[in-house]
Order: sequence, then structure tokens, then C-alpha cells
Amino acid sequence: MDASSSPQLDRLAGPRRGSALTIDVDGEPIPCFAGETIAVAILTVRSWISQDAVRRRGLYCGIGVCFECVVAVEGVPGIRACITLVHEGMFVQTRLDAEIDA
Amino acid sequence: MPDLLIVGAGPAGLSATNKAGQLGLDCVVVDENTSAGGQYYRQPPVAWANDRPSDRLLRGRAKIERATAAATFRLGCAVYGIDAEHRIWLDQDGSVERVEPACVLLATGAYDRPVAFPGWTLPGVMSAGSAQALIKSQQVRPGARAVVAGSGPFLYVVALELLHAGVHVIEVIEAATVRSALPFLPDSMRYPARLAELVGYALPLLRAGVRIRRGAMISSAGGDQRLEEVRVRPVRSGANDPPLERVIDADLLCVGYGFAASTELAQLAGCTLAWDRGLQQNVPAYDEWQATSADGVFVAGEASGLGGAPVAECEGELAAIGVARHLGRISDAGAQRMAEPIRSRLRRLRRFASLLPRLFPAPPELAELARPETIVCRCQNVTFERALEAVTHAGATTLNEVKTTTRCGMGWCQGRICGGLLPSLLAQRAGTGFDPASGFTARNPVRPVQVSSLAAIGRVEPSDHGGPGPDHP
Ligand SMILES: Cc1cc2nc3c(=O)[nH]c(=O)nc-3n(C[C@H](O)[C@H](O)[C@H](O)COP(=O)(O)OP(=O)(O)OC[C@H]3O[C@@H](n4cnc5c(N)ncnc54)[C@H](O)[C@@H]3O)c2cc1C
Ligand code: FES
Repeated sequence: MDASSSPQLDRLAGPRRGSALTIDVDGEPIPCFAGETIAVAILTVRSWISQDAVRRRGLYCGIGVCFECVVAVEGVPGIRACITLVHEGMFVQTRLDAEIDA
Repeated sequence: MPDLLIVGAGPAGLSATNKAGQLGLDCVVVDENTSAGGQYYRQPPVAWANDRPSDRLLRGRAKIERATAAATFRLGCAVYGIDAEHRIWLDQDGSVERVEPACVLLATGAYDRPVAFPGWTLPGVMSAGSAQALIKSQQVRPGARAVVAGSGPFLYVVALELLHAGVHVIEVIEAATVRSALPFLPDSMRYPARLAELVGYALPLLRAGVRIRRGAMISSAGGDQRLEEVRVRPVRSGANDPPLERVIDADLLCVGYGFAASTELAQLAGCTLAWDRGLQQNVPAYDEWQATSADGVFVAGEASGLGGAPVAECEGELAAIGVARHLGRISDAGAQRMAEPIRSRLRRLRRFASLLPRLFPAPPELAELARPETIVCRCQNVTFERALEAVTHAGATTLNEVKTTTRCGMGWCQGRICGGLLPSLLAQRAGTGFDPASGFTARNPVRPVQVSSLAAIGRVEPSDHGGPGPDHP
């Protein structure tokens, strides 16, 4: 993995997390824990959350205000990855092409 | 239908809930976050064990427990619309509903003020509050090597939290200087405990070898598809020489040049706004009971001006008393008696709070940073050049006019980000005529909502204040 895609986030060792589960991000399984946000699940495996026609996008406000982190969940666009929690088998699309970037 | 619907379960909303409970009001609390607490009392997921909870976390948890017993809580539930009769539209996981409470308290808080500089859209550049939220509620390390840049005490709070999370904090870049703060020192000296608190944040940073640079600010961020380096410059430079830049390798840049209040619900409810000097934006005006000009609509906390959590808590309590008085549940005399001690505490707190933006102003030089190709509207990737042309070529003098020609503010965020940074940027850089106090007109829905779910309860009507709103941007 090149530097530009190595993960942005590391889980801290201290706290016990929720149960282990897997989400599907653009067809790739990503392991994570109950209680985590979609943003955290994705950013522990790579450096960006989504990609639009112009650029890669990460977190900006981190509190649900800026919509920088939007992804599609189960085909519904405009879901904020920073405040939406993962659940088992959740299907997340992160390529914001014309179809899902309304 | 409830007596009171509170939007926001932060310090203001929680204090209001507890007071409303004591006064016997039937109260519903709505927050789009999945945990209560707001920014100040941000909580990790309930199920996660935590061996070393902080003092603040415990205080927050106790407050939340009391509030949960006093009211119905709707978490993970967004208020996406409000109209001039303060009917409220809610969206919980795609299912929508309309509530018609007797009164509404808007305790919607604030967010980090956006600043556009070259590279600010790179992954790895985030608001200081974002890094804090990652640590506090998600218990992750937000990066390996960090620069924290901005102005004010919040920088040091976040830098310290990063340090404790194992991040290598390289520098804190503070725009203020001792000299710029000097005129306000005599006033500040009247609050020795609060000043000691500020020093208390800085000392452990210095001890850990974190450099603190005063009188400096971000110049740009760079990297191949993610943050790799931060360029830093002095805030002031000679008129003709380009400012001297330094380059710092980093994979995390936390930016905190103050806050912006979340006011769109207040605007849509028809509340009269007033210019706030500390925030440099229009915020809802309110009376001694936190009541706005819209009948039955109250406001508390950072949504109506800066102050910090203790001010937000006092305002929340006052608002609950104001609602009980408004609904005739307590006499005016009784309300006055209850309010008096809260008001005198509030006066003291506000005096100190009003000093902070003067001690730590966001430097006007930030408006020098955007280049023609710098993105100013992140949702639609609109560049500064295009926004500038809307003013210099097309003659726009207000933000709404810029919107029609550039699509700025038409994306998912409804202009919260570009609307926060463009007025001062265009007023300073366009040369002529642009109104620095202009903002986007708020529109329903304020959060995206699936069109299919609207039919059931009637779509939230675009109010006089709102203009025609799209179902989603
Ligand atoms: C990211 C961030 C971090 C901060 N950290 C600190 C800190 O560590 N120390 C400090 O002293 N101050 C901090 N502050 C300043 C902080 O704003 C105040 O101290 C305090 O939290 C203000 O309380 P409040 O109740 O007014 O708003 P908040 O605590 O911001 O609570 C507002 C709540 O309203 C909810 N909300 C807003 N709009 C909607 C909607 N449409 N539908 C549903 N819910 C909605 C939000 O989810 C949020 O939970 C921080 C501010 C920010 C933005
Ligand atoms: S990062 Fe701003 S909404 Fe998610």
C-alpha cells in the first residue's frame, strides 16, 4: 500500500469495543465493531472515505454539519459517514458518481 | 402533543430538559446524534467499556441519566424542517413524522468556523472538533503526526487530547500574540481562575515538547491525495515581501479558528436575527427568557452566540422557566424568583465569554489564503475563482446572488460551510460592493430526506423566509 492510501486512523488499545462485524464497502468486506461510525470503519483501512469526480474526500467537521463524508447506504445517497453507525452486512457505496451524488 | 420539543441534547438542551422536568413540563428531546451530550459532553457508545472515564464524561453521563428520566429522548433523529407555526418535521432512519409542540427550544449548537486555504479539502485536514470527536466518542487516534492551527483555548484542549491519544503533536499554531492580547489583559485579570485554566492546558503541552507558535497561521496544506505537509506563515508580513513560510511534515492538520452558530432552524421559524460581533454572523435575537421574536420559539446555548458550556447550561435552564411561564404553568413572580440566581451567574459568565473572541480573534489575514483554484464550496467543488467572478463580473453583492450563478450552497450541506466562509472572503478579496453580513436564505428541508417518505405527512412547506426548497439538493 502506498503512503497516499495508508490508513488515517488507528483504534486505541484501551476501551473494549462492541461486537465484531463486517460491512461491505464497494464490494470489499471491511471488519469493524458495533458502535463505530462508517467513517471510522473506512478510515482504519485507508486514507479517504469517498471519491467524487474531482477529488478524494475525508472527514471535515466530524459532527454531521458539512456533509463532506457522505456515502450511499443500501443505495440511499447523502448518508453522513461521520454520524452513522455500522451494522452487520451494511452496504456502503463511496464512489460519488452521477448516479449516487444527487 | 408535547409542551416542549427541544432540538439538541448538548449542555443547553440537557439543562433545559432537567429544569423542564422539575417544572412538570411534558418534554421531548431530539438529537440527530446517536448519543446525547452534544459537543461538550460527547459520549462513547454506551456499550463500550471505559476503564478511565474523564471527569467531564462522568458529569455528562449523570446529567444525561437525569434528563432521560425527565423526558422522552429521540436520538439518531434529525429535525429536517420547521415552519413559521413551529411545526417540526422529524426523520428517524428514513421514517418521517410531524410534531406540533406547544413550544420549541432550539439548542442546536455550533460548529468549527470553516476557513478556505489551499489544500484544505485534502483528507487529513479536518476541524479541531472533528479530531476531538474521533478521540472522545470513537476512541481512535486521528493521525500519527499532527499540527493544530487556529486561535483560542480550544486549540490547547484538542492538542492535549491528541497527545493523550498517542498522536505526535508537532506544533500548535496560534494566531494571537501576547501583544495582540495586551489591551484586554486588565479585564482578563479579573478572572484569575479561568486564566489559570488556560495556562493549565498549555503547560503539559510544553512539557511534552510541543512547540507553541504565536502570531502564526496556516498558509497551505499539500500532498498527493492526502495531507503530507503543512505550510505555516506569520500572520502579519511586510506589505511587499511574501510571508516567510515553514514546512512541517504531518498527516493530520486540525483547524480551529473559532465557531459558527447553527441558525437555520431559527431562520425558518421566522425568528428575528441580530448581528453578533463575537461570531461575526447573524444569530437569533432573544429576550430575558431566551424567547425569540417567533411566538413559542426559544433558543439557548451556542446556537444563539458564543459562551461555552456553562453559559449554554444557564440559558437552557432559563429557557425552560421561560416556557413554563409562557404556558402559564408558573406565575410571572415565581418565574422571576427562579430566574434571578441563574441570571446573575449568567451575567458573570458572559462577561468572561465576551473577552475570548477579543483575546483570540480569527485574523482577517485568513482571507488572503484562498487561491483562484482553491475550492470554496466543498459539496459542489466550486472554486474561489468562480465565486469571485460572480461578484466582479456578474455584479453579485449578496451570497444568494452568488449562489444562482455558481451553485455555491446548493449541495448537501445547504451552504453551511461555504456560507460561513464566503461573506468575509468575498468582501475582502472582491474589492467592491459585496455585503460581508449577507448569508444564504435557509431552506427546508435542512437535512436531506427521501422524497418517497414525504407523502405520508405532507411536505414541509417552504415558508416566506425559506423560498422554494428542493426535496434534496
Ligand atoms: C466539534 C466541537 C467540539 C467542542 N468541544 C468543546 C470542548 O471540548 N470544550 C468546550 O468548552 N467547548 C467545546 N465546544 C464548544 C461547544 O459548542 C460548547 O461548549 C457546548 O457544547 C455548547 O452547547 P450547546 O448545547 O449549545 O450545543 P452542542 O453541544 O453543540 O449541542 C447541539 C446538539 O444539537 C444537535 N442538532 C443540531 N441540529 C440538529 C437537527 N437539525 N436535528 C437534530 N439534532 C440537531 C447536535 O447533534 C448536537 O448534539 C465544542 C464545539 C464544537 C463544534
Ligand atoms: S465530516 Fe462533516 S458531516 Fe461528516
